[in-house]
Order: sequence, then C-alpha cells, then structure tokens
Amino acid sequence: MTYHALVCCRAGMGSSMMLKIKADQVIKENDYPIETRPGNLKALHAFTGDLVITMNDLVDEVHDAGIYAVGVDDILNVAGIKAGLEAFLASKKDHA
Amino acid sequence: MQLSSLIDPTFVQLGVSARDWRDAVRKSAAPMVAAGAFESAYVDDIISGAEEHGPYFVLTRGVAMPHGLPEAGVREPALGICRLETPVDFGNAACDPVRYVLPFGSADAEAHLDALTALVDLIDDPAFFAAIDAACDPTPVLAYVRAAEVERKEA
Repeated sequence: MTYHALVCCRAGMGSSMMLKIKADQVIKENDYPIETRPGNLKALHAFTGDLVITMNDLVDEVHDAGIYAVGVDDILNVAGIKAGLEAFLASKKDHA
Repeated sequence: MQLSSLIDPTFVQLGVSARDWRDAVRKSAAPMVAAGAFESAYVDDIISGAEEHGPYFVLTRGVAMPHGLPEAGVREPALGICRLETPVDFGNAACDPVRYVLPFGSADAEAHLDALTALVDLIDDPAFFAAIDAACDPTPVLAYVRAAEVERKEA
C-alpha cells in the first residue's frame, strides 16, 4: 500500500517545493510507503489522497478540510518531518 | 535552469534596514519590481497572503523566502538575496527573528526544481550565510552560489 501525500503551501511553488524536496529525502532514507506531489491551497480542496504535509501555519486549514496533516515549522528539521510521517503511518496501523 | 540564473546581481542586497516583516518583504523584492521581473501586485499578494494564512514562507531559523501566487504578477522567474541589518520577527516562533530574506517568484516552479533543490542545500549550509555576512557587494555571494552549483554537478 502506498499513501499519497500532497505537499502544500499557499502558492504551491515555493515552500511546498522545498518541503517536498526535504520530505522526499526523509521518505527515501526511511523507505516509507508514501508518494508526494506539490500543490497549493486550491489543490487541497480537490485532494483525495491520504495526508497533507505543510507548513505549520496552514495545518488548521488542512484539518478543516478533514485531511490528516503533518505540520512542519522548519523545513530543515528532518527529525520533525520524520516524526510527523511516522505518526501518520502509526495512525494507519492503528486503524488497519 | 540553474539557481544562479535566477539571481541578477542587483537582486542581492546587503545590510538593508527594515521596520518590520512587511517592510522587509517590500525592500527585499524592490529590485525585482524595478527590473520588471515582478509586478508590485505580486509583492502585495505576498503580504496579504501572509496576513491571511500566516508566514508560510519562513523556511528555517533566520531565513524566509517570501513568495505568493504567480498569477498575481510574476513576469520572469527570479530570486533575491537580502541580508537585513537587524533581524525582524515574521511570526514563526521556531524560526524568528529572520535576517535573510530570499524573495522568489516563478510561474513554473517544477521547471526550477533543480534550482530549488540547490537552494535547499544552500540554506542548510552555514558557510553560505557566512559568505553573505562577509560580503560587501554581490560578487562573492553569487560566486558562492555558482561554486556550489559546480560542486553539485560534480558530485
């Protein structure tokens, strides 16, 4: 099973691209079953995947859309990104 | 497209005084507006976006990359490098205060994936910021960016 993640910022072309680059490094190093694609807040409303990775400022908007959110306050905080993705994967295991 | 091709020497500003984060965004992006790469409406959009959604473009400790919706007024892809004289708070407790402001705009960020990947590596490189701190003019800053590109290509 591969989970689909939207890496999202308001504009979809700056923070989200850089966060995607960093999240992909973490996903590859840890062999997580997650595929990412970048997007903006408009893409969020049409998103039918499993989780959204975004800057902390936008987490509430993702929750409001009813999607699991991993919030990041610093794109270089690899440990924080890893912990967020592991919490998501654990939540899936709990519901399996 | 390489990162250095997005940075005109006039887009590098060293020792800019800013009252607050809005002033820092406007002053850091002013050379791109003057060069016609960004319309002033794009800078307005960056500020209104952050007012509405929070400072989503603060990337890491001390570093922000203000950007907005490209359709608001990006004519040419561009990146600026602005070192503030005195850091200002942007409203991200984990990363404030911000000293380095890197305004960015592109209508096709996927086309600049290599450039943005290079930028991620640079903002993770303390020597890059030491080079910005030591610089009195844009030349050594751009030289550092170009040298990092050559290093990446050879790696």
